[in-house]
Amino acid sequence: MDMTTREPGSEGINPVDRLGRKINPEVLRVAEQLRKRLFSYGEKMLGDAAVVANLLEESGAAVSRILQRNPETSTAIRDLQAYLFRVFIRKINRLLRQQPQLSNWEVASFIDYRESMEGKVVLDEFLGNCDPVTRQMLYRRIEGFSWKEIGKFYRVSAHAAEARCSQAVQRVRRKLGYRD
Amino acid sequence: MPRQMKQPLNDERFLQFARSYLRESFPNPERVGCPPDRELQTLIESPLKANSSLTEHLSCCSPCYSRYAALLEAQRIRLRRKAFDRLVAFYRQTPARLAWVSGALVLLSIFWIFIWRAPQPAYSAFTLDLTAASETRGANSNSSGPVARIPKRPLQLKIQLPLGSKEGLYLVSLDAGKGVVWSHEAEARLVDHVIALEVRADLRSLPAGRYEILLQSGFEKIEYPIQITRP
Repeated sequence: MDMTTREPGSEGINPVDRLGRKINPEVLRVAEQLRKRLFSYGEKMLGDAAVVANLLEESGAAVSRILQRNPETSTAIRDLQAYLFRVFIRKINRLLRQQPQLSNWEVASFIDYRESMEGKVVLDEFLGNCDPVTRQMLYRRIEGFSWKEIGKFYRVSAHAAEARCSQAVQRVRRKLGYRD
Repeated sequence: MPRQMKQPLNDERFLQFARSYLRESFPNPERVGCPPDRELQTLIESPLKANSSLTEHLSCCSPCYSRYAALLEAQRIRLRRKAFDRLVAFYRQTPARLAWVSGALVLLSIFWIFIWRAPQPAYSAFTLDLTAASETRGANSNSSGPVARIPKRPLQLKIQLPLGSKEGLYLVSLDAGKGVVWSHEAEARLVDHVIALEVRADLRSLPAGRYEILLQSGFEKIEYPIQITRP
């Protein structure tokens, strides 16, 4: 009898979801490639490998369902790895927002106040939903570019660049139920 | 746009958090799915032409994001230095332009000093004694009385009002016969037992000749003939 303990997630991803539906093999392949990274991130945020494993399976199933429901989406998803990662992050964030107290000290030190928690959730949601140009504008803003400089790269005015990003953030905040 | 809407993207704490979050939270030691450096460089140099799916990968790969951030930083420094260098080069490489700019500045200074800021005229003191004049009643006026002579130049005019005049605000005006050609308001006060008021009057623009000086305060009206003479 094999008595060795196996770490959660090390056994691979279940090829069927909890309702017995088959998961898209492409999604399974990508999830397998990302498993290590997703676990590392999930454990850092939640501190419970079993919960992370469950979330990973849920994410895989969700992406598979999306692809099966609407085959056109598969062409719209440019990078399946990144898409699956973002779905997984969104599920983690949903769980984090439900938890009144953060148990993991690492998370608590990383997200040392509620405002940053909001910031993390908003940022993840923003990066997952916005278009590539707005995403690039945000990256440049984060890295210290002025709105004027950002506008020059995308051939818009400083005000237009700022408005585009700010409105996208505002939409995300409203969607998440945060107050303005 | 409301100020609050712009807040997160102008809030240094949020930006700092985002910076560290994207750089640290998504380790990828095996570099699964990472694009070559060349593609990141293209994304930096011509963001509208580059493969946009890269941005999605950057949002969940810290090593790639760090590299992208380093390239952005280099670009930012290059751009800011370029703007400064352009300014320096403008002056260094084209001394003729520098001469033109300096010349224009000198001309502007001359225009400022001599034309736009024309020197203020020197006002000389002049007292007009109207103590002998009396208040106008009805249609009668004392135009047949003596005529005071006033030189045609900038004057600090001190007008001594007729006996019995009241202190207060007066409207002083000059009537050329066809209409009022100059007017000014002034406060009359009791000085050395005489009610007097002071006004500044630059009479250089008026032609020499006979005028009526009118002083009005409420219902009180004083008229007195004067002669403006060449200085």
